Amino acid sequence: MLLLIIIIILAICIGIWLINTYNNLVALRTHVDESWSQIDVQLQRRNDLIPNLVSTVKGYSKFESSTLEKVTALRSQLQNIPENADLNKIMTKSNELSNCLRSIFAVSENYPKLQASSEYTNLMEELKNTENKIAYSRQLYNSTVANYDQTILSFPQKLVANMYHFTKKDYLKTDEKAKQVPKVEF
Amino acid sequence: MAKLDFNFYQQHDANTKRTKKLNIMLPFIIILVLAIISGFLAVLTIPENSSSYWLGVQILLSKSSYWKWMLILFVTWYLSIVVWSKHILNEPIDQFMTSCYAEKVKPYERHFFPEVQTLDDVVSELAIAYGIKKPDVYIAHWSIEPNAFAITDSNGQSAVAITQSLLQMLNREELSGVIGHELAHIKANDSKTTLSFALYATGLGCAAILGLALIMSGFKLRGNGLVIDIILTCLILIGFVFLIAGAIGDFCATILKFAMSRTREYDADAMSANVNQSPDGLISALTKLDQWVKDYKAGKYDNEKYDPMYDTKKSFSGRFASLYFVSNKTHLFDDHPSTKDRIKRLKEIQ
Repeated sequence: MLLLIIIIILAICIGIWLINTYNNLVALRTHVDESWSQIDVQLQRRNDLIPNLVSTVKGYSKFESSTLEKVTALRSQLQNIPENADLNKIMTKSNELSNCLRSIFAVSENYPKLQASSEYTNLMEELKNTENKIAYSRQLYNSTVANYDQTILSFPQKLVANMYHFTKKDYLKTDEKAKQVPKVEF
Repeated sequence: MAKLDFNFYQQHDANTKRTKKLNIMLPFIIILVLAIISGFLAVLTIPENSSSYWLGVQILLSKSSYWKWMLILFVTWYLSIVVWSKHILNEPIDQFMTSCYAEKVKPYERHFFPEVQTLDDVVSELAIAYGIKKPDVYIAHWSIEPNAFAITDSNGQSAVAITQSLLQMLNREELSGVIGHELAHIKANDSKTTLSFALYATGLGCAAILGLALIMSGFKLRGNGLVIDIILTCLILIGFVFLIAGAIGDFCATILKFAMSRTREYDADAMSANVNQSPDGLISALTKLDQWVKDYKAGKYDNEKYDPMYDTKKSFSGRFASLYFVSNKTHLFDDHPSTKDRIKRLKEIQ
């Protein structure tokens, strides 16, 4: 009789543990999915800010005309990608855009007269902020993935994960071109 | 203490483990104190063998009256702490900020003041990096002292404040380190942790005061009849027990509270280095603060405006996770580690 009670209590405890672990894994996976789609939000925001950048910098266009043209071209390409496209494709194009913008930063640091204009410094701050936000949202994605992977590979959560087909997710890879130092040419 | 010679994650993990250890030690101390009190109460209420208290203690653990008293005391004390904490934590954030002379940053201000634009941008970036909702940003304009703090509400709202003086001093990278430190406090919900520790310590202190009150009233009311005298003697004995156990418990809980606060500060530093992928910003900001303190002590700022925040700061120890504390070494009762120790630990992260 006592044995039966002990077994029942043990079964209830295991059941509760199973439910909690499963819910925790679902929550972690949801965080991963959410942070993945939040990257898109930041990319879209930068996309919308580009026309401002182009019109402001046009005043100093002697220095950056070819880069500006590249930026405008890339932006229109990004606009033409259909809504349901793979986010990886969008990110590849966005990485190219990042590279162009990076070279604009590099150019502007060589021209102190540009830096004296408050409108320009204002815009540089906006750009810095936008690029940082994109970078941080990618960083957040990587850390949520790390958390998720760590949980599904640890014992005893591993058993529940395998039972319910929670698979390991991949990190965001750095674009090869981004690892190169931007070339400053004008 | 083992040398923390690690990368970002290991320092943060080590700090989290230490936090958990401190969290567990607190209930043990409370249970120890309650065990002593309930021991004496149970002994006083056993009908037989009341002439020999030592024998009473020996058979104590087998008596259900002991556990009954333990349970009653624990439940009463815990419920009173919960009710009290709900009452204190309900102070709204804007009221708190007004008492610190800090004003909320308005949306149009970023177009007029570049440093406000930078601050707002840094806070929103780091809120994304931590995965938290962006906290309200406040600036304290009238303080010459550079400092920053972050608080959370019981409703989940959070705010970060910085003084004008600190904002002028730092460049973007250092500001990122400092705000990273403050947002780490918000992310780890440190307001709640430090407040609960402070409340437990104060609760035990109240038990000691209650004991003192029992003793004094017991002595005062003597001489009104034999039955009353017996009851009063019992109450005096109970009072002594409360006093001693409460005092010991208060002392230990206070030490724990400050140890916990220091650990949380180290952890916030580690999380900031983690999120910024480099400890350099925060190291440089802390070095600047150190220099400012030296200048202040040398009398460089004696002609500046009076700092209205100075007196209010001291009374908010439970909720105030400010950036630094003026000291060269870390003492037992400091709620922040010294700047030198923090810089040393941050430099170990490479």
